[in-house]
Amino acid sequence: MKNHLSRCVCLFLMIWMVSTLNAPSFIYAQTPKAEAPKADEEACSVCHKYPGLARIDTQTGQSRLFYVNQNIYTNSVHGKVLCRNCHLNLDVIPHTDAKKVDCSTKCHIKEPSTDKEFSHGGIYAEFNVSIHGLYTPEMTKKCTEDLPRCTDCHVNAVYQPVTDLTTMQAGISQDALRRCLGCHENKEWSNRFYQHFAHRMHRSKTAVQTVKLCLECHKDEKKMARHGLIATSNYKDTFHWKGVLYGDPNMPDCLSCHAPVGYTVHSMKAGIDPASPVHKNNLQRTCANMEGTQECHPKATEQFATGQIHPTGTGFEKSITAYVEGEATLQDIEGLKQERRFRDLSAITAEDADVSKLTDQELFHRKVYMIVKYVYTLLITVVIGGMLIHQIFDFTRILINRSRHK
Amino acid sequence: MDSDKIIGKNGETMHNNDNLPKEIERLNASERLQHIITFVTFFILVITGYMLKMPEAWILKLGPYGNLIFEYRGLVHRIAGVIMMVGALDHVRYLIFTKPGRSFMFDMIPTLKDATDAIHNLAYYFGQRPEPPEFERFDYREKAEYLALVAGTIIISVTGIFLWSEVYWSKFVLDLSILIHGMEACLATMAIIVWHFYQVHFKPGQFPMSRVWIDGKMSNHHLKIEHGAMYNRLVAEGKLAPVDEHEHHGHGGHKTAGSVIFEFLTYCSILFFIGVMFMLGKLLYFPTTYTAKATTAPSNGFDKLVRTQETKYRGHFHNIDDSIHLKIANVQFCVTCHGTLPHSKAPDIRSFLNMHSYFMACEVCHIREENVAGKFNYVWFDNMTDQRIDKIDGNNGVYGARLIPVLVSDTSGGTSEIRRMDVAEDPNFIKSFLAQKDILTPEEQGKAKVIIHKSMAKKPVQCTECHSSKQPYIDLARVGYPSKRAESLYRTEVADMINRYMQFYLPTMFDPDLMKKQKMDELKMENRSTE
Repeated sequence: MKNHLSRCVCLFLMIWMVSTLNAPSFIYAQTPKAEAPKADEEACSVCHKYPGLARIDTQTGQSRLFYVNQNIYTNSVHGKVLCRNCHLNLDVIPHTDAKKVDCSTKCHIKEPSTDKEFSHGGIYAEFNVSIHGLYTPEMTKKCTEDLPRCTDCHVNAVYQPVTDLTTMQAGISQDALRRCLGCHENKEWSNRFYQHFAHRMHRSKTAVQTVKLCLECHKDEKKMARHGLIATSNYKDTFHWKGVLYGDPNMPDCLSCHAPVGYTVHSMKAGIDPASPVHKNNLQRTCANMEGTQECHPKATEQFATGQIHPTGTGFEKSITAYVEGEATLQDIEGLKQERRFRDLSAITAEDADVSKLTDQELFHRKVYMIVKYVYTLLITVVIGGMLIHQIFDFTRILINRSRHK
Repeated sequence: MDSDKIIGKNGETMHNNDNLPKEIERLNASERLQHIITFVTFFILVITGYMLKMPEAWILKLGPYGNLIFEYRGLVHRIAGVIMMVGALDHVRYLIFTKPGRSFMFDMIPTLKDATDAIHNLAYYFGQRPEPPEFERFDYREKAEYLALVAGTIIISVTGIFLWSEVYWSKFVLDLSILIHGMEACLATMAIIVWHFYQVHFKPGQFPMSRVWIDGKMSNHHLKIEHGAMYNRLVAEGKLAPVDEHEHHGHGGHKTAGSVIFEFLTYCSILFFIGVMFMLGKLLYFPTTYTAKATTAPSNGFDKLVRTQETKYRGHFHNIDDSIHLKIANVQFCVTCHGTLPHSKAPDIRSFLNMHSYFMACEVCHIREENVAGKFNYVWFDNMTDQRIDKIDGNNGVYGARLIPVLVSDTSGGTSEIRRMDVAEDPNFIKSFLAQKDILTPEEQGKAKVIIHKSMAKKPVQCTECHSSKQPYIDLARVGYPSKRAESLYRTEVADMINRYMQFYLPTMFDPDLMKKQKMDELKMENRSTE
């Protein structure tokens, strides 16, 4: 606890130090236009600076954009990397031999801590064996085109250094930079190094963006069904999501539970894997989140960390399995859902429970929940409906009496 | 035993029963205070509670203030909850340990008479009985409401405490608590609107508001109508003046400006509460489901509110900015059919050709000056206003304007007429073609297309015809480019680029079709994708 506190204080002080009274200024303003072409020593921008440089892919019908905004690029995390370092085989013009960018290749930038060539290869290898990666010992992953690639989640992030702790607006603290410039005379280098450091002091995506990103795939029932999964349906019903929606920076998005401190996004595991933070043995720790910037449920009891926060066992598992086996169509699932919307109670049977891996107790809980829900809905309908009718009669009687009076 | 204190009105002259009061104290000070505490906390709890159930788009509109609001929402909800619970406990104390409290409790106990009263009252509504039943101090409506309040307070407090002390409970208990807390809140809010507000605000005779909750007093006239049994008893006991039938018992004949405003506000509140009922009903019976494919993305631009980066082209690795979207107010027919990225045939140069269509009309290249009788001028037109402009701002082709050839034909009298070449000569023909396209045979379609494209050059203007210092097709400096830029387009930067291109692909450069064929063959031979 004390350790944690001191770490918080440290971070706070650090951010405070870099923060400044200067009005936050936008990043683009920081780099004069004349500096921009420096990174472009290959003169790629001669052509690629035109927003119109694009075409429609005649096979897929999608537009392919070849425009790169130089100002954005030079202020991005890759701003010092030459185009050809990532886009290999660009030796001829027009670029008929260009290969798709492979993020795991070695880069020609030296990593200063090891003095070796930098590469995302390590993290890619880690990712590759995760639940989202291609590799399994048996290489049995189905529908590999559904799996996310690096660029599905990552863009070439524009530097967003911290200037102000409370507003978290992007910009450069000239006041902090001034201290660097005392010794490091190269202004451009100092600027970049400062941003390199400060950029990482806050999250690159807001929680809403993270949720949006994950849901892009995980809300897609068809896609999930291909992998024997159920589309995530209920996160948005939780208090967690409401907080995220209101913009509370400490409310958990998907990654807060699925990749908390001690785990990385790139090595996401299935929930049944003991190495997963949401495995039932690790849940209590994950809910407590003692190492995080924000302790979430520090007093979480063992009991609290039970149960499934994304409930399964709604009786659709069977249809989904059938769909994966090719025996049912999505329309069947949709139809079943419509049909069961008001009949959830009867829908849960022991048979379904086998498929959905619910224990007897969980099944009982679900049934109780459903009964309470339906009884209450019925109660509200009867009570409020009855009241409404009563008052309407009262009202008409008064009107009738008044008209007779006159 | 009756706790309602009877107070007299001093200094008023009365026709008879001079010493008897004309009104009773229906709610004493303690009860009025309890009522105020209950309704204030109730509204705070309803508002802060339903803030979690608001439509997402509303929440997103809060933008940067959302976080602060969310923080205080939780705090205020808890404070109000605690006050409500303390108030409820105090009410229990009041019921047991004070004399008026005990009287209140005994009068509130449901009896058989309430059941028969309810039936008789309904019969009266239906015209089966001439008069409504005579009620005692609390009628069946008030008893039902009070008991519902007691039950609701217990349920909502218990579940609220469960949720507050979440870490000690299992998820099952918490799930149930959330469900019941929400359902009970829904029931209570709707009941208050339909049952209580009607009774004390909207009901004719009470409208716009019963004042009992403020001064606690009820006139004998009012008491006789609403609580006949109690009125009779008090009059018989000689504690209340009987109603003087000759006296006028209206709600003050004259209307002040304040009362008019208050009435108007009450009418507004009726509309408002109908809206609230509608929302609650939707929430109850048709909750938003988030499994649907396209509903999750907040469409109204949280992105724009928060960070500049988010206005960029989403999902593209290089954070493409908005300039790729060409905005034209009046789209010509070329774009309607061919799109803003029309070139796709020549693999090597199609993107370059597309790039030009961002700042020039198709007709610049596709109608050759020598094929048209008359003189061409190349003029910039603003994309949005279609106004002719002399100077272009911006760079990299993003000028907000496009270069369009205009035909200057001399008419008699020395005046010249200007015609924009990108405007179709016969738009009605194209329109009717587009409308009937699907029912035309391929031959007919072909013929129509020939007519539509009749002014188009067979061989459009080629790259080097403009990007060359030897007699360029268009005088770029005259058109409006700064001389330096024009120079670069003729010679240095761009022309040099094209030269490099030419060195690689010279033989086919001037014939896109031939070039494409060669390229495809080449790709096929190497077993590569032809894309």
